[in-house]
Amino acid sequence: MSAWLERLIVAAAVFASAAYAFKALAPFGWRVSLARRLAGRLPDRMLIWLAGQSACDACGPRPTAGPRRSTR
Amino acid sequence: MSAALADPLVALVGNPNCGKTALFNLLTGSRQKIANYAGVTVERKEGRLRTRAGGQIRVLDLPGAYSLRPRTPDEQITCDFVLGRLPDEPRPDVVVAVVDGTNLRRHLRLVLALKRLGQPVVVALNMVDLARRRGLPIDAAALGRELGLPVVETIGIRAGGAQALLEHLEREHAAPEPGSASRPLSASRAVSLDEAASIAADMASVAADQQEVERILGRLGLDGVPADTPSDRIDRVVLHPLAGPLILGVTMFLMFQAVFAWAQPFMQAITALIAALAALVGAALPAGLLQSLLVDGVLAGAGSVLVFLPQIVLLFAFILVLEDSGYLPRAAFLLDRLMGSVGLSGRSFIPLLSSFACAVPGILAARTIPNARDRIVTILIAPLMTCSARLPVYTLLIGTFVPARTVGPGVGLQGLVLFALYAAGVGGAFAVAWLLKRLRGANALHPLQMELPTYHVPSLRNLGIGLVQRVEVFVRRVGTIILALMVLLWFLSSFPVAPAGYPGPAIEYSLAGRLGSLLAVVFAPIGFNWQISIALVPGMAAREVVVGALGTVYSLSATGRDVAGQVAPLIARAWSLSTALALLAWYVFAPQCLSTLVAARRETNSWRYPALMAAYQFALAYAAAGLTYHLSRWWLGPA
Repeated sequence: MSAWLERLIVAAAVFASAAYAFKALAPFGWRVSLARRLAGRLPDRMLIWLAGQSACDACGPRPTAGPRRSTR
Repeated sequence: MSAALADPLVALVGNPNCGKTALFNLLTGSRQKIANYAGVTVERKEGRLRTRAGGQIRVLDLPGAYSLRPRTPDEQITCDFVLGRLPDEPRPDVVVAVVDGTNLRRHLRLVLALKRLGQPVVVALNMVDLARRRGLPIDAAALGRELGLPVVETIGIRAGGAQALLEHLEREHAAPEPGSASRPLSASRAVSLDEAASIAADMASVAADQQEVERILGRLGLDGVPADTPSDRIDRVVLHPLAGPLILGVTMFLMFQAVFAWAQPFMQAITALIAALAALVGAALPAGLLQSLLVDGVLAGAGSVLVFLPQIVLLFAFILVLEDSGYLPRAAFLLDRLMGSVGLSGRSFIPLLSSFACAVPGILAARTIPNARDRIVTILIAPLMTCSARLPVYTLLIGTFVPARTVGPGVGLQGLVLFALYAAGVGGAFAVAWLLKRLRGANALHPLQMELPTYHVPSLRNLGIGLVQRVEVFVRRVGTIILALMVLLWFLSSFPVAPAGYPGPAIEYSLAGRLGSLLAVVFAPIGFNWQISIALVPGMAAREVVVGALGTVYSLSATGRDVAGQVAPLIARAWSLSTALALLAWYVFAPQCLSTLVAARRETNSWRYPALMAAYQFALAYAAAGLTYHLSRWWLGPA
């Protein structure tokens, strides 16, 4: 295995672990806030995963649009 | 309205411990927790029932309620739902009033109250098998005629035991009422919300209901005094003022002995498997980042937590057997006097007992406590009960530092120490409750009123489901959050890379090493080195992570290649006995994990109590660890 491939695998594992730990441990408000900042830069599916489906439910009936600020 | 919300809604309502959740599981195929005592369900649970005609029915399992005038938060949920007070929830189309066939006198009162609301009600006459075994001449059709409601027989703990109820709901669902083609299970006959509220609050109806129940029981020949049952005979021994506490103490003691002794072969097998895997990975990959991640991070970290699966399974097997048998409410009864002396009521027993599995369900279970002050105190002390996440920490330290020898016939020293640690947690909780009682002033006496259920032979199916669920939860935690934290800790422990010629282990140069050195300033006075200090941080996410964190940190600290997954020999060399005892004392009172704090925030609707909880537990843990460390050094010497 080449050195760059090894580094790539390790970096991916560390990044995925950090994302999972944040998703699992960070308070709901933090996750929604981060998802809003990343809106447009990441696919909607990833934003929904990060903030949770309930963030979309709270904002309106468009779960595929990702978490967004409530207009109510 | 979405199609899901347009489906008919059926609510299971009844007194506590009448078998609602067992029926819910049968109807929906769910695997919600059931146990043989009141107050297991404290939140509404929703499932779906697919009819043979292809339709769907939403089924709600609600917390038990004795009447429509709630006394506890969990009863409030049920009453609000049935009375249509919840803004986003429609009233149920059909109420399934679940009654315990062995105790109709009490259960029928709620049925009559539900009937007055005007909603369609079907009575599920549960536990009919048990009632008939006791010689009660129960006739469902006659009961239905007297109540003026359809009555179906059910046996919640038997496969197919809800068939009659299922068929009734399907018939109702399939036969449209005039003018209601889309939702045949319609609540159109229900009274208005205001009327429902006044009906629920009508005190005069309580006496009338009681008279009506007596009349119905008289007509059905069920008004006689029940004969002495086997449960009564068992209770004469188990609840005896002297024999009762003795039996309780011996039961608990044997449980911890068995947890320690019986799990050993299985733990050794898992340890050997992880060591073999580590050797395999070490041989297959060249020395480098990836090998270090897999061996030092994944296998030494997450693998060293997985080793404790057999003990978790054994502990829960014992708890599930005690739950299903009906013994636990008796234990609450026995401990009521003791709990009363520290300002708690016997009702706190079940939440505190649930906390032995995890403090989060324990805190939720505190909803069954009617008195607000008792509820808050119970929530505050629930994390002091030794949750299952602490078991791996205890086992690791006891297995490493306490000699495996017997101190009496069949009594192992290691099991005895484990029992003592659990007892210390309980003692600490009682002491804190007593202190809170003194600080907040005396509270009015709240006599314990608790239903003592009939003893059952534990169901193997329930036991199997409960154990599989616990194994799933544990393995999922190891495979997800614990694994993720171990990979992160490995990263923090490996970077930045130490320069060539750095004296000492490379981990000291890493971010984790530097952070550990800073934390060690705080923890050194109580005997913790920087490796322990750094392991305590991810332990806030989940307590068992400490074991994995120690595995990773020590694996990276080791100068030679120690076998991953075997953290015990590493700490045996690095720690004094005083340090190990101090860490055990720390974990008896350790600040709770983040999930517990969030649950306390949700249940108290304030950050004040979680903050108080975190502060007092940190102070208590620090003081206990420091005291243990210095006393043991004085007693045993510094080695």
